[in-house]
Amino acid sequence: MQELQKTLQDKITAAMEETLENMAFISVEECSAEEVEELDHPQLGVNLLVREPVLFEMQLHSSKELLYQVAENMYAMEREELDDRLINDLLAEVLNTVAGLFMSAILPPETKFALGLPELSDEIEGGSELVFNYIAEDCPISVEIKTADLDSFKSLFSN
Amino acid sequence: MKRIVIADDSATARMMIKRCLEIIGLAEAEFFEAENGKEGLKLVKQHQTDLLVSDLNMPVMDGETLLKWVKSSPKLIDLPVLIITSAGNEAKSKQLMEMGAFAVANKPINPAILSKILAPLLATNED
Repeated sequence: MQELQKTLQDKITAAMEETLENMAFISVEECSAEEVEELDHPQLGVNLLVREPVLFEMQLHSSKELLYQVAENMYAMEREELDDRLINDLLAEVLNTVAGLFMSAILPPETKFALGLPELSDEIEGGSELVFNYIAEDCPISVEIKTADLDSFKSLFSN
Repeated sequence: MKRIVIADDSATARMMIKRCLEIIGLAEAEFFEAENGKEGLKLVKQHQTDLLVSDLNMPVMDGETLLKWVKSSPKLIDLPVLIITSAGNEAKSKQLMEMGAFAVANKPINPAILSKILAPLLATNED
């Protein structure tokens, strides 16, 4: 399990770095769950199903403050001008992009994959061993992977 | 003036694509935005479009279906279609190119990537 966590951490970190750097010139750093907890930011969540070649779920939980900072950079708008719809859309697009980069990184180039549409979620269930925490602009952001079939999920890394 | 239709269900993605296109020399273009393939198809039929930029994963009508519609229409068959997706890789790109896509790019995009991809189009269509 530790080996899988390390592999996942490397791939997800690379995907997070590329996504936030491209979207808003923001860098991310890995951190512990305790650091995220200490920051105690209000968060928003979104999840997305990876449908093929193996079914599993990716969740992204981000500090609202970070999303506002990214949106301010991207849209060149004042905070008062940013509405919830735009912030939710941004959150969904971050996960969509991270998921695509992650799948491209772990699969051979000849293997197609299919992503579902991102869905907003208020619930932060936790409990998964596959949670990867980051800090960006002093705000927490986390990616969680959930699978009902760990063996199938592990098979993605056997090539 | 060039007319460009951007079809993506994410307003964030549409904004990023539009900004990148503006940076690489298309600031004067007229942009039309669609939230899905069906709206995108309607827009390219309504306006004499020079470029269609489309996502793949969209509700109502996905980008692959939109590409099929465009390439099966005698009036639209020559319209260059650039697919920008998070669900792309070598195998998917090959399939989309065989279907008639002008190019396929993976998210996240940036001006340098788009400039390189669209260079042939920009060079041949300079106003």
